[in-house]
Amino acid sequence: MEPITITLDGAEVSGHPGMTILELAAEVGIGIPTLCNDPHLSPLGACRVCLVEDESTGRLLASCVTPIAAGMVINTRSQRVIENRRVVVELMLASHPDTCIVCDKGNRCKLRKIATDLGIGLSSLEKIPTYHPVVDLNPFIQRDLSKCIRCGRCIRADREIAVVGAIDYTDRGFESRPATLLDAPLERTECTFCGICVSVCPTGALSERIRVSTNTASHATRTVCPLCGMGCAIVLEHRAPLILRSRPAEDTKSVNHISLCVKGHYGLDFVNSGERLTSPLVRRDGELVPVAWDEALDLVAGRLTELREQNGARTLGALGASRASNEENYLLQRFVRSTLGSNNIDSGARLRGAALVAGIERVLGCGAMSHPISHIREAEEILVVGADPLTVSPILGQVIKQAVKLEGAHLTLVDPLPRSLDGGFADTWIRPAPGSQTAFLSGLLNRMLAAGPPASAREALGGEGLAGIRSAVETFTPERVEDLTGVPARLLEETAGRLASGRRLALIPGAGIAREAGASQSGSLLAVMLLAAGHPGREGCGLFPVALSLNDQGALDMGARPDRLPGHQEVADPDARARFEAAWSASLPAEPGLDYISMIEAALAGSLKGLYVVGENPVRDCPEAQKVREALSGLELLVVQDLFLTETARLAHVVLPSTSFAEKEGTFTNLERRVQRFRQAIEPRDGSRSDGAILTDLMGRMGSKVSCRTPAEVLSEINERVPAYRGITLERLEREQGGIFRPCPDEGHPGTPILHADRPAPMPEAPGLEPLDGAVSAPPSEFPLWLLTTATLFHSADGVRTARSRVLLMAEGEGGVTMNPFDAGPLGISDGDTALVKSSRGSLWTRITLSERIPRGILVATSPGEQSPEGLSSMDARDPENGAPRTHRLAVRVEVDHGNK
Amino acid sequence: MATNEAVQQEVDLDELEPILEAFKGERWGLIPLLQRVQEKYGYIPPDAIEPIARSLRLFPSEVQGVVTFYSQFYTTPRGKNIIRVCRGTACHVRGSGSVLKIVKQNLGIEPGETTPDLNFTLETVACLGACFLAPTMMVNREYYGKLAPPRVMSVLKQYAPSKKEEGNGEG
Repeated sequence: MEPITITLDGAEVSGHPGMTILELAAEVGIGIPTLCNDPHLSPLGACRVCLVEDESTGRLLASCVTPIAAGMVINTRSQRVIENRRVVVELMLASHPDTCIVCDKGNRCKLRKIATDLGIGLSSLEKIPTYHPVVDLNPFIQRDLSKCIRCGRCIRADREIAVVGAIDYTDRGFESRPATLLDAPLERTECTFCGICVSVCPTGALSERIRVSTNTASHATRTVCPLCGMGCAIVLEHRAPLILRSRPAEDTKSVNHISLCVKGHYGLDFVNSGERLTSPLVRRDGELVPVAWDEALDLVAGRLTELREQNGARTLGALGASRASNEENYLLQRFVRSTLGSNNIDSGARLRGAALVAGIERVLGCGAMSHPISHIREAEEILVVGADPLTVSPILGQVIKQAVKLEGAHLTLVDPLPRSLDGGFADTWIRPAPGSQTAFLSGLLNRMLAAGPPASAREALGGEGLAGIRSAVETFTPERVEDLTGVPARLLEETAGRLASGRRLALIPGAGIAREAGASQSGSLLAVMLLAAGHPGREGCGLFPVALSLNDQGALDMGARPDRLPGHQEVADPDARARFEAAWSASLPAEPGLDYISMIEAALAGSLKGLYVVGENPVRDCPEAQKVREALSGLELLVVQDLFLTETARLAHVVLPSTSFAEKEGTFTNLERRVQRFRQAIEPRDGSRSDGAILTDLMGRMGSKVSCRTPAEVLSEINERVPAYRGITLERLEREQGGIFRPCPDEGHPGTPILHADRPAPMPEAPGLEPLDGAVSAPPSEFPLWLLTTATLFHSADGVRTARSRVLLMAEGEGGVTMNPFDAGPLGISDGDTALVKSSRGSLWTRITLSERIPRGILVATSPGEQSPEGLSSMDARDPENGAPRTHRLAVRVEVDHGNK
Repeated sequence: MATNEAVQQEVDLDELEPILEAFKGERWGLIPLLQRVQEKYGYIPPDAIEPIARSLRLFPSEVQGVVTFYSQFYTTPRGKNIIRVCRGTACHVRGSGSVLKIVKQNLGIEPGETTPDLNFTLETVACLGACFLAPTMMVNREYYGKLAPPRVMSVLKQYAPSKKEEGNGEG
């Protein structure tokens, strides 16, 4: 298309057709003030502050909604423009309270800034008072509509980005205002408290309700939110020693743009928690007592050395560090491998989704997301399997909603449970019986292959591979799958047809299959589906597992796992080992070590003597909480590094206080494989040290020569040793703030947002699908109900940190179990009762809520409290290949103590 | 959306189904759909907003936005007879204030409200375009001009519930 040339403030400038005057002005560096415009939202033209004059016609135009046209002679600051703009702003001020001095928006208020710029003081116009504040009880958002200027930013952000639709304009003229349905308070609407309306509000009409202090922070630091695997770019506002506020970084290169979720927006106040540890603790006569750092570290170094000499390195191990940086994970595994001499290292990734990831990796060579999540918005077919993205990774959930609501994608939800995406969003909701998703996926693949896969799929899988896959799933005919899963054969056929239709396809599996039986098989099936649909490397397609969280991806990449060195190099590979041995001047063990659960079992059996825990909390996160307690209590040495005295730390011999993400430097890798730098905002809490600093100190005390001590130095060692991170240097991360997608093999490489873009999948010969029987057993008669564990919106996988957020705690109830009245009736349970939920491995008292939405025979459990439902599952139920526990579904019974009623 | 508690009543949302069916998934159909709903119930029952939104795949808040924007959509039940008293300049000069006062006193309601027996809804309008008949009011589609207090009373009586109800009952 021909560019259009206009005259802008006396100079000739060109832009493309469809561009607004405002956009072109911004491009050439001419600032036009505006209140209602936001480049991330559709233009509205409501505030009229961006008025400009077209000198060729004499018209005043709202530059944000007027496209450029040939021959325009635009003046953005003529006397007439300024006069009219002043009137517009003065009228706004006439119905705006003069309470700036106590308004939390303070210096961030755009209305105030524009008024100041235009030299408008107190208005002489008669004041027209507007609405009284609405009373909201939620701890997140305070609405004061007397300060609302009707710019509609909150409404547009709610609809176009969050896609919640909780608010819209209501009424007309002077009465009009953003309001919820029937003016209900926000907590009784669909609102998820993502806070995007607060972020975009240009005035004090919307603000954080609970705040550390009113008004503007003195400092702001761009960094990365650590609470889930999305890696949202945030700006932390702070005033030593406190974090005051978190807001989106508003970077179009970031994963979240102008969006955040409730956790990232409101939950980072855990940093300020009074429960933070401020001194090392050592157990003396059964009590943890504060000691000096030197004493604690000498004790740890001495005991570890002793234990290694007495019992051998294999009796030592470490858990960590999904909550720590890439650099700290690298140091931890180096510490375990080279200083302790053991491969017993594993992170929380094992508990969350390692089996699913391994299954995907078996087919595609990499288990992480194949594409940036922004591609989901371009997808035409979206299949969400056993995942609740709006809860566990809300930013990805938002993109799904955008694709469905704004772009018209077809969403198929495969889940026995009602999830947050079902309400009005899913076009098709398929509900296989609990535990039968793998059989359902096998059936889907069976039909997709029967439909005749495209040539690209045959090429990717290879003739032999295709034949192998066909035979692995051939018994899963629609009729048999109907028997196994309860899903009508017709629905299976229809869904397979959609997936094989050649439309752009996004596959989004989550915890509901990652922590289920057959998780790795499900992962492989999904990976093959992507190939069978002919989509590897195609834009707007991809496989997006959302089971992992925090910095799990970084922990896996950095070798915090028993079988691989940094960069996914096999421990058993002598060449790989030799390279690290040379670098670290140490000999490394060749045998893969114990995984997470195996270490707990070894501790229980007495064959593991010492465990070093960095930010993990196995007592809460592992199956069989009671057994884990026993195992850890029986250790000769348990060292825990954490911000807080967690359930696990309470059992430790030595507790070392670590610093939060806001008090240190480093990099995180998000689930998209995006490596980003996070920065120090405030000084560390008195008495705490970063995980990395503690580890390097300890290595020194144990005689290892560690040349890299700072996060920057560790990153350059990673650049040197990990091929996929070679080009991801500190300098580049400083420059490229949105992060770099690994693999990035050299400094000149742009990174790899899309995997498999220029080659077929790497494993044509070995699709790695074994035939499975597919039969799903019913729960035993003694424990006749299935308990399914789910996440909650207000807590991340890291319950430890979110449970210390003052604001999140106010929102979150105590958690509990929801069941169908049909199951509750015969047990004499009514809504609100407290009951004992018992599995073969443990029990917990919990509050019961009744809901018709929960299918019969199923209980749904969430628990932000100290005791997690996962703790009732069995250590024995594990993925045969990688030892990941199956904590999603367990057989239970419910008992109610009627004496207490 | 002022609610008139006295006249809130249970509505049978089953009758909504055929209307929703006719516009299913058609976002453009919101306004004609709302008109049909209003024809059926006499107003837009607030409880109908969510089913309407679901059916058209709109957000409930959006539907409410449209309902409350147009003055022709009502969110409270309407009387069988709609009285519109003209408060335009010409009528004002000729005493429409007293006309309104008499209607209010007689029916015991304020403008915008509906009598508890759902017989009358009282509204004021800026001009009925019949200034030569000032002061005027309309009942349903009938104009009544050159009003004086006795005439107002007799018009009201004409529409009182005890009278035999004929074709002009619907507004």
